[in-house]
Amino acid sequence: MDDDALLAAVAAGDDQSLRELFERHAPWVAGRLRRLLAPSAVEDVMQETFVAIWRGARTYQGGGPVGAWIWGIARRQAALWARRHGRADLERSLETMLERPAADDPAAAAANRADLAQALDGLGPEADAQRELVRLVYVEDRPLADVARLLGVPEGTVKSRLFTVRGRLRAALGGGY
Amino acid sequence: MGGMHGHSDGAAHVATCADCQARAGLRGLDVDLNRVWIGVAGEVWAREVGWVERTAGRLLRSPGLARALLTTPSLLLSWLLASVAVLAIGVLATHTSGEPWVALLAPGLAGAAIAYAYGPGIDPAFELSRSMVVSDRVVLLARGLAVFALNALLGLAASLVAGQAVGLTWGWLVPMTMVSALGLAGATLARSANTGVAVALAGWAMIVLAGRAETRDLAAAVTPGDLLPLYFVGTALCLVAALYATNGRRSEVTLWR
Repeated sequence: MDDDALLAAVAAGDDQSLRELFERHAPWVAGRLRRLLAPSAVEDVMQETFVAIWRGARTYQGGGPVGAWIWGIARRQAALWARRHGRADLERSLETMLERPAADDPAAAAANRADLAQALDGLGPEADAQRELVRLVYVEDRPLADVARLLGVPEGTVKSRLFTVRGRLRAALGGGY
Repeated sequence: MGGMHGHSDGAAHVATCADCQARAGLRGLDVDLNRVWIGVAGEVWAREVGWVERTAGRLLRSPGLARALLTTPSLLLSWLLASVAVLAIGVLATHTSGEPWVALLAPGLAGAAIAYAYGPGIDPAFELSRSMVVSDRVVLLARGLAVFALNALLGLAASLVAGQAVGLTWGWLVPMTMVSALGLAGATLARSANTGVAVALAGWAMIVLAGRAETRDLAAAVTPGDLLPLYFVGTALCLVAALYATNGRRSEVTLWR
């Protein structure tokens, strides 16, 4: 099911579709918010974001990618969080900071890739499906469409599996990355 | 992670690019998304508490446990009606064929019901239950006991209606315990209620057919005798497996569903 169909199902009250949407989009939205907010603040904002999606799915008009719509909600929720917590400075800079690309650092990216390659051992034997997924996506940096083709599953399934492997990856990398 | 070559790291691009989204997910690994989902689920599934749940909460001294109990898939009305229908067919079959169909059906039904007392993936309330003060094991224990007791009562009532011999009326309780434990072990080890059902039904079918092959009597599996040690050892082993499967550390590891 693509994102539009999932969101339509959410609008019709299907909580399993909300879960699917969460698995596909929560990791990157959290990653993006994490650039400016502490983990606990990101968790608060994420919760408000997906509750807002559940309540407001009917207002989605289409005409743009679902990811962009979700990101718009997350940005607003982050601004609300900053206001509630008296962080006027953060509230002012939040929108522009969150939109901006991060400073590109090739050396850091290479080091991160090396950490990931090492972390693969913590994900089980070479034949392990989760380990293979992490290797293809994060170490070999392959596009998701290629990975989906290689594994013989839809791209949406690859996204869901990446969500599932997240916990193990987090443990293998020592809790934070 | 800077993203793939040729991709921008701006929000407008990331929000529309699946590849960049996958890589952006690596930045927030210190954010506990399971906890976030539990919070979301709590709001999504929030509903008014009915009198049955309030009463159960008072009796159990735990509103959370009452909620978990009343949302058990195999305690829902539709499941109970289906169980009663299967046993009613068993009663009819027992009357017409003279074979102890109620005694043979009851353990299989209980095994399936117990497997469905544990439901990641099929039971929305399972995830909600994880936000409760009570542990997964306590929730599972309460659900398992309630499901087992109800199935034992249904089986007993059906046995009495079918007019089975006294030995048969009680004979299926021991195998039922073993098949229930088998279903529980299968479900918790595989983290899949459907797998638990398959394991329970396949195990019970094998026992029944093996007994039939050896004694030419379909009732052999429910007239324990020599099979009692097998049932007791089987029950103990399955319970140990279920305990292992539900220990805290293993529960943290999420497997493919």
